[in-house]
Amino acid sequence: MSNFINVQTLLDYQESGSDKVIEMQGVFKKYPDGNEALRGINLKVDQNEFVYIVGPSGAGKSTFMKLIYREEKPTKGQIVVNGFNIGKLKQRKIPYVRRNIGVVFQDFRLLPKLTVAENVAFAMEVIEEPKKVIRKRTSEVLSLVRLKGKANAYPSQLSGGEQQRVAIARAIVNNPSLIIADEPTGNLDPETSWGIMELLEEINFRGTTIIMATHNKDIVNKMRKRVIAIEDGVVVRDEERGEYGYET
Amino acid sequence: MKLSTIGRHFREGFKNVTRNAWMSFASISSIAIPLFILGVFLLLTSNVNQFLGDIESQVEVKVFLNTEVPEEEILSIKNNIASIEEIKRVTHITKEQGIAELREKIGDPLEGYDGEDNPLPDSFVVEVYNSREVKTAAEKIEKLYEGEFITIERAVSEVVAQPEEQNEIEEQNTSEGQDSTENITDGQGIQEDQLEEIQIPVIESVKYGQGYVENLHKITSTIRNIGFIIVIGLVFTAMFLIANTIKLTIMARSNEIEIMKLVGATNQFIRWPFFVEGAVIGFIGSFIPSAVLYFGYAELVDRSQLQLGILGMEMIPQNEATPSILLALFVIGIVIGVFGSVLSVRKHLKV
Ligand SMILES: Nc1ncnc2c1ncn2[C@@H]1O[C@H](COP(=O)(O)OP(=O)(O)OP(=O)(O)O)[C@@H](O)[C@H]1O
Ligand SMILES: [Mg+2]
Repeated sequence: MSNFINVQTLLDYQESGSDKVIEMQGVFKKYPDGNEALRGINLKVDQNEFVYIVGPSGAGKSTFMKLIYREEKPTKGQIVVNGFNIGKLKQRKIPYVRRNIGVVFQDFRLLPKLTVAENVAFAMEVIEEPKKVIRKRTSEVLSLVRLKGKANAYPSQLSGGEQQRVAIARAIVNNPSLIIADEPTGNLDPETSWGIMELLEEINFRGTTIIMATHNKDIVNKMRKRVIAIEDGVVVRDEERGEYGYET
Repeated sequence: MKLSTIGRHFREGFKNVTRNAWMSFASISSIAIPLFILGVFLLLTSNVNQFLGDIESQVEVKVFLNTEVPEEEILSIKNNIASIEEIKRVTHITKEQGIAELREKIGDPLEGYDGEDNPLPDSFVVEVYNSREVKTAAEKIEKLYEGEFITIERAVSEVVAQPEEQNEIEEQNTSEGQDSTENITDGQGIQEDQLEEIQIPVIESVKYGQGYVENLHKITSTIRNIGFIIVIGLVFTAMFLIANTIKLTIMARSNEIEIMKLVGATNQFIRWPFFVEGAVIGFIGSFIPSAVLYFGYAELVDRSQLQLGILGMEMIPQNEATPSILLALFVIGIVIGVFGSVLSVRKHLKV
Protein backbone atom coordinates (compact mmCIF):
# COMPACT_ATOMS: atom_id res chain seq x y z
CA MET A 1 0.00 0.00 0.00
CA SER A 2 1.03 3.56 -0.50
CA ASN A 3 2.28 4.12 3.01
CA PHE A 4 4.72 1.31 2.55
CA ILE A 5 6.81 3.17 0.03
CA ASN A 6 9.78 4.24 1.99
CA VAL A 7 13.19 4.44 0.36
CA GLN A 8 15.04 2.97 3.31
CA THR A 9 12.64 0.11 3.57
CA LEU A 10 12.80 -0.56 -0.15
CA LEU A 11 16.56 -0.80 0.06
CA ASP A 12 16.13 -3.46 2.71
CA TYR A 13 13.81 -5.46 0.55
CA GLN A 14 15.12 -8.92 0.00
CA GLU A 15 14.31 -10.58 -3.28
CA SER A 16 12.65 -13.77 -2.23
CA GLY A 17 12.06 -14.74 -5.85
CA SER A 18 8.37 -15.41 -5.33
CA ASP A 19 5.07 -13.68 -4.78
CA LYS A 20 4.57 -15.48 -1.48
CA VAL A 21 3.21 -13.36 1.32
CA ILE A 22 4.58 -15.70 3.99
CA GLU A 23 7.34 -18.27 3.82
CA MET A 24 8.45 -20.25 6.85
CA GLN A 25 11.38 -22.67 6.88
CA GLY A 26 12.20 -24.82 9.89
CA VAL A 27 10.70 -22.37 12.34
CA PHE A 28 11.03 -23.12 16.04
CA LYS A 29 9.80 -21.06 18.96
CA LYS A 30 10.86 -21.80 22.49
CA TYR A 31 9.62 -19.33 25.11
CA PRO A 32 12.12 -18.19 27.73
CA ASP A 33 10.44 -20.42 30.32
CA GLY A 34 11.32 -23.47 28.21
CA ASN A 35 7.91 -23.93 26.59
CA GLU A 36 8.36 -25.19 23.05
CA ALA A 37 5.36 -23.68 21.27
CA LEU A 38 6.47 -24.39 17.70
CA ARG A 39 8.70 -27.22 16.59
CA GLY A 40 9.66 -27.00 12.93
CA ILE A 41 7.09 -25.21 10.79
CA ASN A 42 7.47 -25.16 7.00
CA LEU A 43 4.81 -23.47 4.93
CA LYS A 44 4.00 -20.90 2.31
CA VAL A 45 1.04 -18.59 1.93
CA ASP A 46 0.28 -17.01 -1.43
CA GLN A 47 -1.00 -13.55 -2.17
CA ASN A 48 -4.77 -13.36 -1.79
CA GLU A 49 -5.19 -16.67 0.06
CA PHE A 50 -7.66 -17.18 2.89
CA VAL A 51 -6.22 -19.56 5.47
CA TYR A 52 -7.81 -21.02 8.58
CA ILE A 53 -5.44 -22.11 11.34
CA VAL A 54 -7.07 -24.78 13.50
CA GLY A 55 -5.97 -27.00 16.31
CA PRO A 56 -6.52 -27.63 20.00
CA SER A 57 -5.95 -25.03 22.64
CA GLY A 58 -2.26 -24.57 23.38
CA ALA A 59 -1.22 -26.08 20.05
CA GLY A 60 0.74 -22.98 19.03
CA LYS A 61 -1.70 -21.11 16.77
CA SER A 62 -1.28 -17.74 18.44
CA THR A 63 2.49 -18.19 18.61
CA PHE A 64 2.55 -18.93 14.88
CA MET A 65 0.71 -15.68 14.19
CA LYS A 66 2.80 -13.61 16.59
CA LEU A 67 5.91 -14.59 14.66
CA ILE A 68 4.44 -13.13 11.48
CA TYR A 69 3.99 -9.59 12.81
CA ARG A 70 7.12 -9.95 14.93
CA GLU A 71 5.57 -9.77 18.37
CA GLU A 72 7.78 -12.77 19.02
CA LYS A 73 11.07 -13.75 17.40
CA PRO A 74 11.70 -17.31 16.18
CA THR A 75 14.41 -19.17 18.09
CA LYS A 76 15.38 -21.00 14.90
CA GLY A 77 14.45 -20.92 11.24
CA GLN A 78 13.60 -18.24 8.74
CA ILE A 79 10.41 -16.25 8.25
CA VAL A 80 9.91 -14.03 5.22
CA VAL A 81 6.86 -11.77 5.24
CA ASN A 82 6.13 -9.57 2.23
CA GLY A 83 9.76 -10.08 1.23
CA PHE A 84 11.24 -9.06 4.58
CA ASN A 85 13.30 -11.46 6.60
CA ILE A 86 11.40 -10.91 9.84
CA GLY A 87 13.90 -12.60 12.13
CA LYS A 88 16.77 -10.37 11.05
CA LEU A 89 14.85 -7.12 10.78
CA LYS A 90 16.36 -4.10 12.52
CA GLN A 91 14.30 -2.68 15.41
CA ARG A 92 13.81 0.56 13.53
CA LYS A 93 12.26 -1.14 10.52
CA ILE A 94 9.71 -3.22 12.38
CA PRO A 95 6.98 -0.56 12.53
CA TYR A 96 6.99 -0.22 8.74
CA VAL A 97 6.44 -3.94 8.25
CA ARG A 98 3.66 -3.96 10.85
CA ARG A 99 1.83 -1.15 9.10
CA ASN A 100 1.15 -3.47 6.24
CA ILE A 101 -0.34 -6.14 8.47
CA GLY A 102 -3.71 -5.70 10.15
CA VAL A 103 -3.87 -7.73 13.36
CA VAL A 104 -6.98 -8.74 15.28
CA PHE A 105 -5.54 -9.83 18.62
CA GLN A 106 -7.07 -12.71 20.51
CA ASP A 107 -7.19 -10.44 23.57
CA PHE A 108 -8.20 -7.34 21.49
CA ARG A 109 -5.46 -5.04 22.84
CA LEU A 110 -7.44 -1.84 22.71
CA LEU A 111 -5.95 1.31 24.21
CA PRO A 112 -7.98 1.65 27.42
CA LYS A 113 -7.86 5.44 27.66
CA LEU A 114 -8.99 6.05 24.09
CA THR A 115 -12.55 5.92 22.82
CA VAL A 116 -13.66 3.45 20.16
CA ALA A 117 -13.19 6.04 17.42
CA GLU A 118 -9.82 7.14 18.81
CA ASN A 119 -8.61 3.55 18.93
CA VAL A 120 -9.45 3.05 15.27
CA ALA A 121 -8.05 6.45 14.32
CA PHE A 122 -4.79 5.70 16.13
CA ALA A 123 -3.77 3.17 13.46
CA MET A 124 -4.18 5.91 10.84
CA GLU A 125 -2.46 8.62 12.89
CA VAL A 126 0.57 6.36 13.04
CA ILE A 127 0.91 6.46 9.26
CA GLU A 128 0.21 10.21 9.27
CA GLU A 129 -2.98 10.19 7.25
CA PRO A 130 -4.62 13.63 6.94
CA LYS A 131 -7.18 14.37 9.63
CA LYS A 132 -10.01 14.55 7.12
CA VAL A 133 -9.25 11.10 5.76
CA ILE A 134 -8.99 9.76 9.30
CA ARG A 135 -12.42 11.07 10.28
CA LYS A 136 -14.12 9.80 7.13
CA ARG A 137 -12.49 6.39 7.14
CA THR A 138 -13.06 5.85 10.88
CA SER A 139 -16.79 6.33 10.58
CA GLU A 140 -16.86 4.15 7.47
CA VAL A 141 -15.16 1.25 9.21
CA LEU A 142 -17.20 1.64 12.39
CA SER A 143 -20.39 1.28 10.42
CA LEU A 144 -18.97 -1.79 8.68
CA VAL A 145 -18.62 -3.48 12.09
CA ARG A 146 -21.91 -1.92 13.24
CA LEU A 147 -20.43 0.16 16.02
CA LYS A 148 -21.28 3.67 14.90
CA GLY A 149 -23.39 4.25 17.97
CA LYS A 150 -20.47 3.38 20.27
CA ALA A 151 -17.91 5.67 18.65
CA ASN A 152 -17.40 7.70 21.82
CA ALA A 153 -17.52 4.86 24.32
CA TYR A 154 -14.40 3.58 26.07
CA PRO A 155 -13.36 -0.09 25.72
CA SER A 156 -14.26 -0.75 29.35
CA GLN A 157 -17.84 0.27 28.56
CA LEU A 158 -18.18 -2.34 25.80
CA SER A 159 -19.13 -6.01 25.79
CA GLY A 160 -16.54 -8.58 24.74
CA GLY A 161 -18.10 -8.92 21.29
CA GLU A 162 -18.13 -5.17 20.81
CA GLN A 163 -14.49 -4.88 21.80
CA GLN A 164 -13.68 -7.62 19.32
CA ARG A 165 -15.38 -5.68 16.56
CA VAL A 166 -13.37 -2.55 17.46
CA ALA A 167 -10.23 -4.68 17.11
CA ILE A 168 -11.43 -5.85 13.70
CA ALA A 169 -12.21 -2.29 12.63
CA ARG A 170 -8.71 -1.18 13.65
CA ALA A 171 -7.14 -4.08 11.77
CA ILE A 172 -8.84 -3.32 8.47
CA VAL A 173 -8.87 0.48 8.59
CA ASN A 174 -5.58 0.98 6.71
CA ASN A 175 -6.43 -1.53 3.98
CA PRO A 176 -3.43 -3.73 4.82
CA SER A 177 -2.24 -6.33 2.32
CA LEU A 178 -2.32 -9.01 5.03
CA ILE A 179 -4.80 -9.52 7.86
CA ILE A 180 -4.01 -11.76 10.78
CA ALA A 181 -7.06 -12.53 12.88
CA ASP A 182 -6.70 -14.59 16.06
CA GLU A 183 -10.17 -15.98 16.77
CA PRO A 184 -12.00 -12.90 15.51
CA THR A 185 -15.38 -14.49 16.15
CA GLY A 186 -14.55 -15.97 19.52
CA ASN A 187 -16.84 -13.68 21.47
CA LEU A 188 -19.53 -13.10 18.90
CA ASP A 189 -23.02 -14.54 18.56
CA PRO A 190 -23.60 -16.60 15.38
CA GLU A 191 -25.31 -13.79 13.55
CA THR A 192 -22.59 -11.21 14.22
CA SER A 193 -19.99 -13.87 13.47
CA TRP A 194 -21.40 -14.39 10.03
CA GLY A 195 -21.48 -10.66 9.49
CA ILE A 196 -17.79 -10.46 10.32
CA MET A 197 -16.98 -13.45 8.09
CA GLU A 198 -18.78 -11.85 5.16
CA LEU A 199 -16.78 -8.70 5.78
CA LEU A 200 -13.50 -10.65 5.79
CA GLU A 201 -14.47 -12.55 2.66
CA GLU A 202 -15.28 -9.27 0.95
CA ILE A 203 -11.87 -7.84 1.97
CA ASN A 204 -10.19 -11.04 0.76
CA PHE A 205 -12.09 -10.80 -2.51
CA ARG A 206 -10.57 -7.33 -3.03
CA GLY A 207 -7.05 -8.78 -2.81
CA THR A 208 -6.09 -8.98 0.87
CA THR A 209 -4.47 -12.13 2.23
CA ILE A 210 -6.21 -13.40 5.38
CA ILE A 211 -4.89 -15.75 8.04
CA MET A 212 -7.41 -16.60 10.72
CA ALA A 213 -7.10 -18.84 13.75
CA THR A 214 -10.43 -20.25 14.83
CA HIS A 215 -12.22 -22.85 16.91
CA ASN A 216 -15.46 -22.29 14.99
CA LYS A 217 -16.38 -25.56 13.25
CA ASP A 218 -19.48 -24.14 11.54
CA ILE A 219 -17.62 -21.36 9.87
CA VAL A 220 -14.70 -23.51 8.66
CA ASN A 221 -17.01 -26.17 7.31
CA LYS A 222 -19.46 -23.83 5.62
CA MET A 223 -17.07 -21.22 4.29
CA ARG A 224 -14.53 -23.57 2.73
CA LYS A 225 -10.96 -22.29 2.53
CA ARG A 226 -7.45 -23.62 3.01
CA VAL A 227 -7.11 -25.23 6.46
CA ILE A 228 -3.81 -25.65 8.31
CA ALA A 229 -4.04 -27.74 11.46
CA ILE A 230 -1.37 -27.29 14.11
CA GLU A 231 -0.96 -29.76 16.94
CA ASP A 232 1.70 -29.60 19.60
CA GLY A 233 3.76 -27.11 17.61
CA VAL A 234 3.82 -28.90 14.26
CA VAL A 235 1.64 -28.75 11.14
CA VAL A 236 -0.34 -31.98 11.00
CA ARG A 237 -2.65 -31.13 8.10
CA ASP A 238 -2.71 -28.59 5.27
CA GLU A 239 -5.63 -28.86 2.80
CA GLU A 240 -7.27 -26.64 0.21
CA ARG A 241 -11.00 -26.23 0.94
CA GLY A 242 -10.49 -28.35 4.05
CA GLU A 243 -12.71 -29.18 6.98
CA TYR A 244 -12.45 -28.20 10.60
CA GLY A 245 -11.70 -31.78 11.53
CA TYR A 246 -12.18 -31.70 15.28
CA GLU A 247 -15.19 -32.46 17.40
CA THR A 248 -16.28 -29.59 19.60
CA MET B 1 7.05 14.27 10.36
CA LYS B 2 4.08 16.21 9.07
CA LEU B 3 3.00 19.45 10.72
CA SER B 4 -0.40 17.96 11.52
CA THR B 5 1.36 15.09 13.28
CA ILE B 6 3.28 17.56 15.46
CA GLY B 7 -0.05 19.15 16.35
CA ARG B 8 -1.40 15.72 17.14
CA HIS B 9 1.50 14.96 19.48
CA PHE B 10 0.88 18.19 21.38
CA ARG B 11 -2.84 17.51 21.69
CA GLU B 12 -2.19 13.97 22.84
CA GLY B 13 0.47 15.11 25.30
CA PHE B 14 -1.95 17.54 26.93
CA LYS B 15 -4.81 15.02 26.90
CA ASN B 16 -2.60 12.38 28.50
CA VAL B 17 -2.16 14.60 31.55
CA THR B 18 -5.91 14.42 32.23
CA ARG B 19 -6.34 10.86 30.94
CA ASN B 20 -3.91 9.69 33.61
CA ALA B 21 -5.12 12.20 36.17
CA TRP B 22 -4.07 10.23 39.23
CA MET B 23 -0.57 9.52 37.98
CA SER B 24 -0.21 13.11 36.78
CA PHE B 25 -1.13 14.25 40.26
CA ALA B 26 1.55 12.01 41.76
CA SER B 27 4.18 13.22 39.29
CA ILE B 28 3.26 16.86 39.78
CA SER B 29 3.48 16.51 43.55
CA SER B 30 6.81 14.77 43.39
CA ILE B 31 8.15 17.67 41.35
CA ALA B 32 6.40 20.43 43.28
CA ILE B 33 7.37 19.41 46.80
CA PRO B 34 11.15 19.14 46.38
CA LEU B 35 11.12 22.26 44.21
CA PHE B 36 9.29 24.11 46.94
CA ILE B 37 11.87 23.04 49.53
CA LEU B 38 14.62 23.95 47.10
CA GLY B 39 13.06 27.37 46.53
CA VAL B 40 12.74 28.02 50.26
CA PHE B 41 16.34 27.04 50.67
CA LEU B 42 17.57 29.20 47.82
CA LEU B 43 15.74 32.21 49.24
CA LEU B 44 17.18 31.45 52.64
CA THR B 45 20.75 31.18 51.39
CA SER B 46 20.56 34.30 49.31
CA ASN B 47 19.28 36.21 52.32
CA VAL B 48 21.98 34.79 54.58
CA ASN B 49 24.49 35.81 51.93
CA GLN B 50 23.02 39.26 51.94
CA PHE B 51 23.31 39.52 55.74
CA LEU B 52 26.86 38.27 55.66
CA GLY B 53 27.62 40.72 52.88
CA ASP B 54 26.25 43.52 55.03
CA ILE B 55 28.53 42.55 57.87
CA GLU B 56 31.51 42.25 55.57
CA SER B 57 30.97 45.62 54.05
CA GLN B 58 31.32 47.19 57.47
CA VAL B 59 34.95 46.13 57.54
CA GLU B 60 37.19 49.18 57.16
CA VAL B 61 40.84 50.22 57.12
CA LYS B 62 42.28 52.75 59.57
CA VAL B 63 45.25 54.85 58.54
CA PHE B 64 47.14 56.67 61.30
CA LEU B 65 49.32 59.52 60.19
CA ASN B 66 52.46 60.50 61.93
CA THR B 67 51.66 63.08 64.61
CA GLU B 68 54.17 65.43 63.08
CA VAL B 69 52.55 65.60 59.68
CA PRO B 70 51.68 69.23 59.13
CA GLU B 71 48.02 70.05 58.69
CA GLU B 72 48.41 71.50 55.21
CA GLU B 73 49.68 68.12 53.89
CA ILE B 74 46.72 66.12 55.13
CA LEU B 75 44.29 66.90 52.34
CA SER B 76 46.71 65.84 49.62
CA ILE B 77 47.48 62.59 51.48
CA LYS B 78 43.77 61.94 51.77
CA ASN B 79 43.30 62.50 48.06
CA ASN B 80 46.19 60.22 47.22
CA ILE B 81 44.70 57.42 49.27
CA ALA B 82 41.24 57.97 47.82
CA SER B 83 42.64 57.56 44.31
CA ILE B 84 43.47 53.87 44.96
CA GLU B 85 41.03 51.89 42.86
CA GLU B 86 39.73 49.49 45.52
CA ILE B 87 38.84 52.35 47.79
CA LYS B 88 35.36 53.71 47.99
CA ARG B 89 35.58 56.49 50.55
CA VAL B 90 38.10 58.15 52.84
CA THR B 91 36.98 60.05 55.94
CA HIS B 92 39.36 62.27 57.82
CA ILE B 93 39.25 61.99 61.59
CA THR B 94 41.07 64.96 63.04
CA LYS B 95 43.00 64.63 66.26
CA GLU B 96 40.31 66.74 67.93
CA GLN B 97 37.60 64.31 66.81
CA GLY B 98 39.82 61.46 67.86
CA ILE B 99 40.30 62.74 71.38
CA ALA B 100 36.62 63.57 71.67
CA GLU B 101 35.71 59.99 70.71
CA LEU B 102 38.24 58.59 73.09
CA ARG B 103 37.04 60.81 75.84
CA GLU B 104 33.53 59.53 75.42
CA LYS B 105 34.85 56.09 76.07
CA ILE B 106 37.25 56.63 78.94
CA GLY B 107 36.49 60.15 80.18
CA ASP B 108 38.44 61.89 82.99
CA PRO B 109 42.02 60.68 82.53
CA LEU B 110 42.16 62.60 79.30
CA GLU B 111 41.40 66.00 80.80
CA GLY B 112 43.78 68.64 79.60
CA TYR B 113 45.24 66.92 76.57
CA ASP B 114 43.84 69.52 74.25
CA GLY B 115 45.35 71.56 71.48
CA GLU B 116 49.13 71.35 71.44
CA ASP B 117 49.07 68.66 74.10
CA ASN B 118 46.84 66.32 72.14
CA PRO B 119 48.90 63.15 71.72
CA LEU B 120 46.67 61.60 69.07
CA PRO B 121 47.52 61.56 65.38
CA ASP B 122 45.22 62.49 62.55
CA SER B 123 43.68 59.41 61.01
CA PHE B 124 41.59 58.28 58.07
CA VAL B 125 38.78 55.78 58.00
CA VAL B 126 38.96 54.05 54.64
CA GLU B 127 36.03 52.08 53.20
CA VAL B 128 36.62 49.63 50.37
CA TYR B 129 34.16 48.44 47.73
CA ASN B 130 34.73 44.76 48.40
CA SER B 131 35.63 43.44 51.81
CA ARG B 132 37.85 40.82 50.19
CA GLU B 133 40.08 43.65 49.02
CA VAL B 134 40.67 45.09 52.47
CA LYS B 135 44.09 43.54 52.65
CA THR B 136 45.13 44.67 49.17
CA ALA B 137 43.93 48.17 49.86
CA ALA B 138 45.81 48.31 53.14
CA GLU B 139 49.00 47.16 51.42
CA LYS B 140 48.59 49.70 48.66
CA ILE B 141 48.19 52.48 51.20
CA GLU B 142 51.38 51.38 52.94
CA LYS B 143 53.27 51.33 49.66
CA LEU B 144 51.99 54.72 48.68
CA TYR B 145 54.26 56.45 51.19
CA GLU B 146 56.90 53.81 51.57
CA GLY B 147 60.34 55.42 51.71
CA GLU B 148 58.84 58.88 51.65
CA PHE B 149 59.55 61.23 54.44
CA ILE B 150 58.70 64.75 55.27
CA THR B 151 61.32 67.03 56.65
CA ILE B 152 60.38 68.90 59.77
CA GLU B 153 62.21 71.12 62.20
CA ARG B 154 62.34 70.02 65.72
CA ALA B 155 63.87 71.24 68.92
CA VAL B 156 66.80 69.11 70.05
CA SER B 157 67.68 68.94 73.70
CA GLU B 158 70.76 66.74 73.58
CA VAL B 159 73.93 66.82 71.59
CA VAL B 160 74.41 63.77 69.53
CA ALA B 161 77.29 61.75 70.78
CA GLN B 162 78.95 60.95 67.48
CA PRO B 163 78.56 63.87 65.20
CA GLU B 164 80.48 62.27 62.37
CA GLU B 165 78.07 59.43 61.98
CA GLN B 166 75.22 61.82 62.26
CA ASN B 167 76.74 63.76 59.47
CA GLU B 168 76.88 60.79 57.19
CA ILE B 169 73.26 60.00 57.71
CA GLU B 170 72.27 63.52 57.09
CA GLU B 171 74.24 63.71 53.91
CA GLN B 172 72.35 60.71 52.60
CA ASN B 173 68.95 61.97 53.53
CA THR B 174 69.12 65.64 52.93
CA SER B 175 68.53 66.90 49.49
CA GLU B 176 70.84 69.57 48.13
CA GLY B 177 70.04 73.23 48.38
CA GLN B 178 68.65 72.87 51.80
CA ASP B 179 70.57 74.51 54.56
CA SER B 180 72.56 71.95 56.38
CA THR B 181 73.00 71.64 60.09
CA GLU B 182 76.41 73.29 60.23
CA ASN B 183 75.65 75.03 63.41
CA ILE B 184 75.56 71.83 65.40
CA THR B 185 78.40 69.98 63.85
CA ASP B 186 81.19 72.07 65.27
CA GLY B 187 81.46 69.56 68.07
CA GLN B 188 81.64 72.38 70.63
CA GLY B 189 79.56 72.44 73.83
CA ILE B 190 75.85 71.86 74.29
CA GLN B 191 73.27 74.31 73.04
CA GLU B 192 69.80 74.32 74.57
CA ASP B 193 66.77 74.42 72.25
CA GLN B 194 68.76 73.84 69.19
CA LEU B 195 66.67 73.35 66.03
CA GLU B 196 67.17 70.18 64.11
CA GLU B 197 65.71 69.15 60.76
CA ILE B 198 64.75 65.49 60.74
CA GLN B 199 63.02 63.04 58.41
CA ILE B 200 59.87 61.26 59.47
CA PRO B 201 57.57 58.78 57.67
CA VAL B 202 54.21 60.13 56.63
CA ILE B 203 52.14 57.17 57.72
CA GLU B 204 52.59 55.78 61.15
CA SER B 205 50.52 52.65 60.66
CA VAL B 206 47.74 51.04 58.64
CA LYS B 207 45.32 48.81 60.50
CA TYR B 208 42.47 46.68 59.24
CA GLY B 209 41.68 44.16 61.96
CA GLN B 210 43.59 41.42 60.13
CA GLY B 211 42.41 38.40 62.09
CA TYR B 212 38.82 39.56 62.26
CA VAL B 213 38.39 39.97 58.52
CA GLU B 214 39.97 36.65 57.68
CA ASN B 215 37.85 34.80 60.22
CA LEU B 216 34.72 36.42 58.90
CA HIS B 217 35.57 35.22 55.41
CA LYS B 218 36.15 31.74 56.68
CA ILE B 219 32.77 31.67 58.39
CA THR B 220 30.85 33.10 55.47
CA SER B 221 32.45 30.81 52.93
CA THR B 222 31.75 27.80 55.16
CA ILE B 223 28.11 28.82 55.40
CA ARG B 224 27.96 29.26 51.63
CA ASN B 225 29.58 25.90 50.95
CA ILE B 226 27.21 24.09 53.29
CA GLY B 227 24.30 25.81 51.59
CA PHE B 228 25.61 24.77 48.20
CA ILE B 229 25.98 21.14 49.28
CA ILE B 230 22.46 21.09 50.67
CA VAL B 231 21.08 22.57 47.44
CA ILE B 232 22.87 19.94 45.34
CA GLY B 233 21.57 17.24 47.65
CA LEU B 234 18.04 18.55 47.29
CA VAL B 235 18.27 18.63 43.50
CA PHE B 236 19.38 15.01 43.46
CA THR B 237 16.66 13.96 45.89
CA ALA B 238 14.11 15.68 43.69
CA MET B 239 15.44 13.95 40.59
CA PHE B 240 15.36 10.58 42.29
CA LEU B 241 11.80 11.07 43.53
CA ILE B 242 10.62 12.23 40.16
CA ALA B 243 12.37 9.49 38.22
CA ASN B 244 10.73 6.99 40.51
CA THR B 245 7.26 8.40 40.12
CA ILE B 246 7.61 8.59 36.38
CA LYS B 247 8.92 5.05 36.27
CA LEU B 248 5.75 3.94 38.02
CA THR B 249 3.62 6.02 35.66
CA ILE B 250 5.20 4.50 32.62
CA MET B 251 5.19 0.99 34.00
CA ALA B 252 1.43 1.31 34.27
CA ARG B 253 1.42 2.37 30.65
CA SER B 254 3.93 -0.10 29.21
CA ASN B 255 0.96 -2.13 28.07
CA GLU B 256 -0.30 0.83 26.06
CA ILE B 257 3.13 1.44 24.58
CA GLU B 258 3.27 -2.19 23.49
CA ILE B 259 -0.10 -1.93 21.79
CA MET B 260 0.93 1.22 19.98
CA LYS B 261 4.05 -0.49 18.70
CA LEU B 262 2.11 -3.55 17.52
CA VAL B 263 -0.18 -1.28 15.56
CA GLY B 264 2.88 0.08 13.75
CA ALA B 265 3.89 3.20 15.66
CA THR B 266 7.54 4.21 15.53
CA ASN B 267 9.44 5.00 18.72
CA GLN B 268 9.46 8.69 17.81
CA PHE B 269 5.71 8.67 17.38
CA ILE B 270 5.23 7.21 20.86
CA ARG B 271 7.87 9.36 22.48
CA TRP B 272 6.62 12.79 21.43
CA PRO B 273 3.36 12.90 23.40
CA PHE B 274 5.31 11.65 26.43
CA PHE B 275 7.75 14.48 25.88
CA VAL B 276 4.93 17.04 25.82
CA GLU B 277 3.24 15.39 28.78
CA GLY B 278 6.48 15.53 30.77
CA ALA B 279 6.90 19.21 29.95
CA VAL B 280 3.32 20.00 30.99
CA ILE B 281 3.74 18.10 34.25
CA GLY B 282 7.08 19.80 34.86
CA PHE B 283 5.51 23.18 34.17
CA ILE B 284 2.61 22.64 36.55
CA GLY B 285 4.96 21.06 39.08
CA SER B 286 7.11 24.18 39.12
CA PHE B 287 4.29 26.68 38.73
CA ILE B 288 2.67 25.71 42.03
CA PRO B 289 5.74 26.11 44.29
CA SER B 290 6.76 29.22 42.35
CA ALA B 291 3.41 30.90 42.98
CA VAL B 292 3.48 29.94 46.65
CA LEU B 293 7.04 31.20 47.05
CA TYR B 294 6.36 34.40 45.11
CA PHE B 295 3.44 35.51 47.23
CA GLY B 296 4.68 33.91 50.43
CA TYR B 297 8.03 35.66 50.21
CA ALA B 298 6.44 39.05 49.59
CA GLU B 299 4.32 38.52 52.68
CA LEU B 300 7.33 37.49 54.74
CA VAL B 301 9.40 40.50 53.66
CA ASP B 302 6.47 42.70 54.55
CA ARG B 303 5.96 41.26 58.00
CA SER B 304 9.61 40.98 59.00
CA GLN B 305 10.55 44.47 57.90
CA LEU B 306 10.06 46.06 61.30
CA GLN B 307 11.81 43.45 63.44
CA LEU B 308 14.79 43.07 61.11
CA GLY B 309 15.02 46.83 60.70
CA ILE B 310 15.67 47.16 64.41
CA LEU B 311 18.62 44.81 64.02
CA GLY B 312 19.87 46.91 61.12
CA MET B 313 19.24 44.12 58.65
CA GLU B 314 16.96 43.86 55.72
CA MET B 315 15.69 41.00 53.53
CA ILE B 316 16.30 41.05 49.83
CA PRO B 317 13.24 42.70 48.29
CA GLN B 318 10.88 40.37 46.47
CA ASN B 319 11.44 41.82 43.01
CA GLU B 320 15.18 41.18 43.35
CA ALA B 321 15.14 37.82 45.08
CA THR B 322 12.37 35.86 43.39
CA PRO B 323 12.76 36.20 39.58
CA SER B 324 16.05 34.31 39.23
CA ILE B 325 15.01 31.66 41.73
CA LEU B 326 11.64 31.15 40.08
CA LEU B 327 13.32 30.93 36.69
CA ALA B 328 15.66 28.28 38.11
CA LEU B 329 12.69 26.34 39.50
CA PHE B 330 10.89 26.43 36.16
CA VAL B 331 13.93 25.29 34.24
CA ILE B 332 14.65 22.48 36.72
CA GLY B 333 10.98 21.43 36.81
CA ILE B 334 10.51 21.28 33.06
CA VAL B 335 13.85 19.62 32.40
CA ILE B 336 13.11 17.00 35.04
CA GLY B 337 9.60 16.43 33.70
CA VAL B 338 10.78 16.00 30.12
CA PHE B 339 13.85 13.92 30.87
CA GLY B 340 12.08 11.73 33.37
CA SER B 341 9.30 11.07 30.91
CA VAL B 342 11.49 10.47 27.87
CA LEU B 343 14.06 8.36 29.70
CA SER B 344 11.46 6.15 31.30
CA VAL B 345 9.56 5.54 28.08
CA ARG B 346 12.74 4.28 26.44
CA LYS B 347 12.82 0.97 28.24
CA HIS B 348 9.40 -0.01 27.04
CA LEU B 349 9.91 0.76 23.39
CA LYS B 350 11.70 -2.48 22.54
CA VAL B 351 8.60 -4.33 21.38
N1 LIG C 1 4.55 -15.74 26.47
C1 LIG C 1 4.63 -17.07 26.69
N2 LIG C 1 5.54 -17.56 27.53
C2 LIG C 1 5.65 -18.88 27.75
N3 LIG C 1 4.88 -19.79 27.17
C3 LIG C 1 3.94 -19.36 26.31
C4 LIG C 1 3.75 -17.98 26.03
N4 LIG C 1 2.76 -17.83 25.14
C5 LIG C 1 2.33 -19.08 24.89
N5 LIG C 1 3.03 -19.99 25.57
C6 LIG C 1 2.87 -21.43 25.53
O1 LIG C 1 3.06 -21.85 24.19
C7 LIG C 1 2.10 -22.84 23.85
C8 LIG C 1 1.29 -22.39 22.64
O2 LIG C 1 0.52 -21.27 23.01
P1 LIG C 1 -0.40 -20.51 21.98
O3 LIG C 1 -0.92 -19.30 22.65
O4 LIG C 1 0.34 -20.35 20.74
O5 LIG C 1 -1.57 -21.58 21.79
P2 LIG C 1 -2.88 -21.43 20.91
O6 LIG C 1 -2.86 -22.52 19.92
O7 LIG C 1 -3.06 -20.07 20.42
O8 LIG C 1 -4.01 -21.75 21.98
P3 LIG C 1 -5.51 -21.15 22.05
O9 LIG C 1 -6.31 -21.89 21.06
O10 LIG C 1 -5.94 -21.47 23.45
O11 LIG C 1 -5.43 -19.71 21.79
C9 LIG C 1 1.25 -23.08 25.07
O12 LIG C 1 1.75 -24.21 25.73
C10 LIG C 1 1.48 -21.84 25.93
O13 LIG C 1 1.42 -22.16 27.28
MG1 LIG D 1 -4.38 -18.52 20.75
